[in-house]
Amino acid sequence: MENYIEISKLSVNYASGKNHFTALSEINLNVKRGEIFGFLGPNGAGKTTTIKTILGMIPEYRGNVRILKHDPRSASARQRIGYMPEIANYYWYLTPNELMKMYGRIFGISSKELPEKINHVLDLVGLNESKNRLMKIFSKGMMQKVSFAQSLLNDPELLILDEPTTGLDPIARLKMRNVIKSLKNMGKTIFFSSHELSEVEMICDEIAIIKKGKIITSGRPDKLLSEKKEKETLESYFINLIEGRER
Amino acid sequence: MKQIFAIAINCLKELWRKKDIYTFLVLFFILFIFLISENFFGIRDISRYTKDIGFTIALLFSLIIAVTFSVKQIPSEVEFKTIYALLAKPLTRFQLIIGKFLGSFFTSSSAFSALFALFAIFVYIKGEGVAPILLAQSYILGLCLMSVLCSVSTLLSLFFTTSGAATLSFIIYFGITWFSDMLRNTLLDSGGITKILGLIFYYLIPHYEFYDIKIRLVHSWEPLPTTIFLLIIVYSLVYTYTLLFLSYLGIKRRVF
Repeated sequence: MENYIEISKLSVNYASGKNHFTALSEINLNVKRGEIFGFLGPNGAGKTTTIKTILGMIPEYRGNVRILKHDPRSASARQRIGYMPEIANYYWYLTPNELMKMYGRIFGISSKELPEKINHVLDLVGLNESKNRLMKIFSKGMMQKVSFAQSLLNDPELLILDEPTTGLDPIARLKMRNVIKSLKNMGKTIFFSSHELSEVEMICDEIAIIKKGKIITSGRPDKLLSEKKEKETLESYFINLIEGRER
Repeated sequence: MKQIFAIAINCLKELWRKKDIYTFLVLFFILFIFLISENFFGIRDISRYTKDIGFTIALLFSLIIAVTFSVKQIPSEVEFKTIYALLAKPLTRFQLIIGKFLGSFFTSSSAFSALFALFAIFVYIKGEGVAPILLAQSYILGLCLMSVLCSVSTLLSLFFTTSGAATLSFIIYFGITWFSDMLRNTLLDSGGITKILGLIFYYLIPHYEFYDIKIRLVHSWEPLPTTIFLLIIVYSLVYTYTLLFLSYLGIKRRVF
């Protein structure tokens, strides 16, 4: 199956004055079309830098990155990508409907199609009733829903979700999980980073764990866990790996 | 173009929803009060003062709106982290700069248009006999001024804090309008490397004094010759585009 994300020997350095910091060091990652890929790692491990590189927000890096066969820095690649940022901050002086209209125009969706698409994505996340309210009154969970909705607006082939369930109540979390699964059934490719390991275990086909800018393991979650002598959850496996109790 | 206008329209919505429009309404009211207070002073030849101060107020208030609105456009996207969702869309950084600039330009131009319209109506009601072509020239040059001001402020906002960029924009504006003649004369009288470097600096700075034809309005002089008028417009367009391109270069390789 073709790779939608191809990353080989990717290194990213941040420079601030004389200080240099290596955020990613020669990472390799392949995400196949139609799979749900979980990207795990502790805070500051390099997850967001990887996502920013995939989205073309890091102009300079070493290595090779191809997203849907395009250079990630080209705007055309982003036409087919949906992105839900880690921090769901949007223009509080707009309503979800207006925000979607603005983003829809950026995606070049025709004004004829746009209202229908907006209704569809807001329905999907359960925000249609609040679509004409200013977002300044929205809770964190509602903003997460807005964030998820805007990532689906262009009917993306590749969906990148950065900590998608943060701030959601258990029911909303379940609903989002179901939406993600149904998107997979529709043939979408989903790349998501999360701290919610139980969630990752439930829905991901493949995972990769990153620590200090390096991928330390990757593969199918069930395979990784079956390699262990004792029965482990992904959570304990992750903690052992990150804390360096094994290896 | 759709992408650029989507960003620009959002800037106008911001103005409306954040109640920044109230600031404009206060400024409009101040100008209105000033214009209707002419009879109150009862001074002979007051009409010249009305034209002089009325036009200055209209320009100054629009300038304040242009600078204060432009300098916060991109920094606020970064501060509130809304830039991530934007840059993840099929939008180039150049389109982002142009969209933000257009939003600021539309905002300040709308404010200037309303203030200028109020001023022009009063001038005509009073029967001041200003040639319509001169009024039209003042208006168009006012729009050109907004364009250059917004592009200068946008560029500065990428390298300085919001308040620093606003302060610098005002200093540059007033410095140039007050001292550019003096600077030119001093440079022409000097010699050697000082003159060469000074003249390069002189030709690089935005010549805000080109846009102020208030003296012609006040004394009802002849309009600007068409060639000069058109050259100023071309200068504004080239200057604006150059600054916006420099702004793009400023964020092209920036990691947000």
